[in-house]
Amino acid sequence: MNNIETVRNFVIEEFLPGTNPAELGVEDDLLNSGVLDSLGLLKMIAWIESTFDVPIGDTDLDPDNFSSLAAIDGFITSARQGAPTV
Amino acid sequence: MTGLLERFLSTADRLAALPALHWNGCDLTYSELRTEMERQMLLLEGIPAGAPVCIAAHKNPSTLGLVFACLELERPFLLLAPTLAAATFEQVSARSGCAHIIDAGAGTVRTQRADFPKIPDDVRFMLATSGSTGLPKVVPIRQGAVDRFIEWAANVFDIRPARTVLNLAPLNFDLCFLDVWTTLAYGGRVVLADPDQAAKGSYLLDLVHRFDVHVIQGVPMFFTLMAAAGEEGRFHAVDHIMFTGDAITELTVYATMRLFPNSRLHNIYGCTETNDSFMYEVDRTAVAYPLPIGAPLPGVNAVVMSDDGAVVDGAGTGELLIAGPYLTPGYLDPSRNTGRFTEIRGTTYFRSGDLVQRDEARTIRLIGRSDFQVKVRGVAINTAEVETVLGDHPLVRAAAVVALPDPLTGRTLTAVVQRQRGSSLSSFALKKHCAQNLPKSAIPTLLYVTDEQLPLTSTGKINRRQAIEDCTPNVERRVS
Repeated sequence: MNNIETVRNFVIEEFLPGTNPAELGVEDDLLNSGVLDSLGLLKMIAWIESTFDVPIGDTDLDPDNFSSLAAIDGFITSARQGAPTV
Repeated sequence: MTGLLERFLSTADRLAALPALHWNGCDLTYSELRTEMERQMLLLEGIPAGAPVCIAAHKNPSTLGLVFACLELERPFLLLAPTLAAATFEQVSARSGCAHIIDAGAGTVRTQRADFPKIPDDVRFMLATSGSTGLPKVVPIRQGAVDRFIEWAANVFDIRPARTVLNLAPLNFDLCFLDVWTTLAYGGRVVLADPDQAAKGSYLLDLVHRFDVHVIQGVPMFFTLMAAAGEEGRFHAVDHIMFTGDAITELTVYATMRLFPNSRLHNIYGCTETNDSFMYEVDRTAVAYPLPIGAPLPGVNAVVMSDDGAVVDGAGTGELLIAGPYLTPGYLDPSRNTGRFTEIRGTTYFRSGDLVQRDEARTIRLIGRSDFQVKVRGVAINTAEVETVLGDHPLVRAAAVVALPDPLTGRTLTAVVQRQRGSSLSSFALKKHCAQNLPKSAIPTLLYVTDEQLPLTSTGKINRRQAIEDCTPNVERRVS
């Protein structure tokens, strides 16, 4: 399973119970649509850290890094390469 | 009376190099903050004298400078949450007479058509209630009330030069009268927590540690977060802690006492309409739980009114009504005062909607609400209004919304929705629907969709508790 599918399944299971995964597009806004609130965002970040084994520092906490499945995928990819993410 | 602005300017004159604030790696002295104020005055040039402006309350030094600029120019201003839905933001500001919306950090002024409501003399600050649906109500506050309040707060919490206060609340919250405005009036230093990171306990404790914070006011959730992050740590410099905005768990009271061993702990009660009105100091040697809200602040009049509208004089229960030195003159839209303000024995009182119990020693405890209002992370939300918004979706047959107890946040807004049979309405679609029609804080965190008829009570109303329990077997035992 690629990153996007893994993240999508997590988001559906944790925050959108009962939603058909196909309904959540890779560019859909997770923050302004009310899917993730500030605590949901933290939960998501903690999950990304442990699932993808990428350390997330305070400077990475920019909500833009987590605003959609595509953004999260991009964040994980660049974090794994050790590239600056902000 | 020497007020907020005069005190701030006098500090900037006499003690120019004194630190005024810290924000995201940047420190400003009083003199630098005054320079920021002067810079913001340029943004206000050309706006008709006395016309109210709407300030997008992004947390940064420029917004603080703009508030001081408005005070200097005797201009009323509405501090509005930038997180409001765009349409709501515009409507609330337009109806408050704000033809100009200013984002101080970005240095932009947007114009719009606006009404011309009558703003009472001497009003500068205007705040909005959370208003889970419909329009938030705008609460004008006379500058005299602000000045009286900051004098009280500075005295009680020892706010002065060489003292540091942590600000956790967004700038559009009334809590800022204490942590931001009292501090800047009395020469203290305010450390502004970044809202994007404030849900991280370790970030907050790092601020407390690095800046030798003395005073912390916040909704209970912040103390729960800090306690969880600071298991082993002790912060000895903190001497005043104020819980406010919500009920606090017993666990968090004890954890906060351990984390800040030299602090006095206060439970503060207030509303946007009344500012802080009651305070209770926790006895560290014998914690009374649930924490009472205690006794009225000096000058505050409180009345307990029973169901039948009679004033309860001694011990008893009823709705809490508040009058006093910090009370608003009424909502900016007078038509919304109905039922919320009432006159008793010649004094105008605000009806808080909170049910309280007063004991023989005249100590007051909150016991519930007289309506559908709940507090989630310090924000008042009317669950009946959230149900109405959900019910407005064309594929929704019925909706039940309750605030479930949550060990971390205090309460989690939870909804169960019965959709039209055969439809594919999802929790994602409903969250998007809520996001378009509700402020973010009123969007249910947990949202379950079912095809089944929601359970009813014997009187034919939706049995909310049962509906939630049916859908959430794993949280069943948490429903109180």
